[in-house]
Amino acid sequence: MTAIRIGIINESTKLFKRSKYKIFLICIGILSLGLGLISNYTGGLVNVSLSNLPLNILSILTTVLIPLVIFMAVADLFAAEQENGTIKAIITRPISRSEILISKMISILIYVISILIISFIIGSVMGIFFGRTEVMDIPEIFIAYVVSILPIIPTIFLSILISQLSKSSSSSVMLSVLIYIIIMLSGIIFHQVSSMLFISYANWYKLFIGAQMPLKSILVIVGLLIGYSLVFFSGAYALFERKEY
Amino acid sequence: MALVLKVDELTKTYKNGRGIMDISFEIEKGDIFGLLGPNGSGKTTTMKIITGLSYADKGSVQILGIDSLEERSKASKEIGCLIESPAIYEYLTARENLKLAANYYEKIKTPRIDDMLTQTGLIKYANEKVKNFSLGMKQRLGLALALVSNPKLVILDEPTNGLDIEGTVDIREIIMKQAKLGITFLISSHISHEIELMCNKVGIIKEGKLLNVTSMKNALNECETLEKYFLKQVGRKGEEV
Repeated sequence: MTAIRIGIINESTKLFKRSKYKIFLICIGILSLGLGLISNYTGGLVNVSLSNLPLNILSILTTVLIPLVIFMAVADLFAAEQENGTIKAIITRPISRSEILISKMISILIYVISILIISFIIGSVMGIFFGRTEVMDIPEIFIAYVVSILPIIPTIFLSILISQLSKSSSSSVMLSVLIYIIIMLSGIIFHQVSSMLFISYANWYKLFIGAQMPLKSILVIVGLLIGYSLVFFSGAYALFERKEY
Repeated sequence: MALVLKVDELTKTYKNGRGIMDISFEIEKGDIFGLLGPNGSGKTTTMKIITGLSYADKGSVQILGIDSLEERSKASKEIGCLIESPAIYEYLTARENLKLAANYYEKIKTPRIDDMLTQTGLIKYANEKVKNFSLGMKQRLGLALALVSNPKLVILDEPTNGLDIEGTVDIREIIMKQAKLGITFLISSHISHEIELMCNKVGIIKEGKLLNVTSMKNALNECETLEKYFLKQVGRKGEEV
């Protein structure tokens, strides 16, 4: 556990020290502010139904922006490090390969959570300020943000798996985007498989909003997401463990 | 003398048929062991297997009695290495790079990092981003990274590769100084002069086979220079093969 803890500290340092990830966090903040202003001054005409600002920001994040940032971070922490040889700085230290993989994955998740925290704070404050969000709805919105973390996990593992098959960071990003789009389109084109695809649950937080929570559906989705995560993790680990540098 | 490294019948064959075959040697505490051989002779492959970057088809590696191939994490605590080019994050400063490496070792604190920066002459540039460093500075930082954990064994693959005369001398001086402090070294090079100046033991490697291991004293007694010794070994063994 100590090795994983140290790994998380190191990998997070690497992510948060890079200018592009700092800028991305600022952009997320600006985007949340911008959406709030658009929502207020256009009365919801320009954007889609901005009746509840923090939740609409969350939908945009989980469907598009967070997958993109995951693909970028995975490419930087895996494919790019393998490409430029900096992975040797970790492999030769007292940490096992499984611990390296887990600590990198958790660091990416921490970065994604920081995006969610920024959006939640800005979205909620602006929503309340412009009178589009009730203060009493904040706990429910908070739960929506928290549960949105779960569907992100299989996406990270899928991207790690793809990065192990890629020779460069750019091909890792491109392949991840391509596969993500293919999975997304298959869900749209073939409705019957949609419920089996993990991507379909990016906005599953909607199940937690309202008077009654469909507990059975929630448990099925949790099982599905865990299953996908385990399959992608196993594949990624098998390839990462075998890799020679 | 206590054994620090024991390599036994290490074998690895790549898809192209090249690799190493039955490499066996031992390094005792305080040794500076030089692995001398031409490019592509298997020096880096041997070092990569010892450090866990690559896997062997056959054979074993023991670092201070720990089976490195079985208990890699435990063995890694005892070694520091610089394999091929220095593994440094260019978007971080020299100090941050060392801090990340030091984090893996409980006992390594800030004074050790500063000490390493001082010893490698990088203390003035400690807070500068590595992307602005010259090749020599990067190589010195690579050496600092190999030494920062206070390892018992340091493995350096062509540590002076691509450096100018001054850079080469700097690196050599740091290695000699650390060796006097009791650190054991395994150094590879294709330049016989480098090995001759630094090492007390030498292994001659060619086409994946370790032809001979001897003390530098014996090698220089037998031939005038290590270069002549190398040529003699390669020629003689070559004829036998």
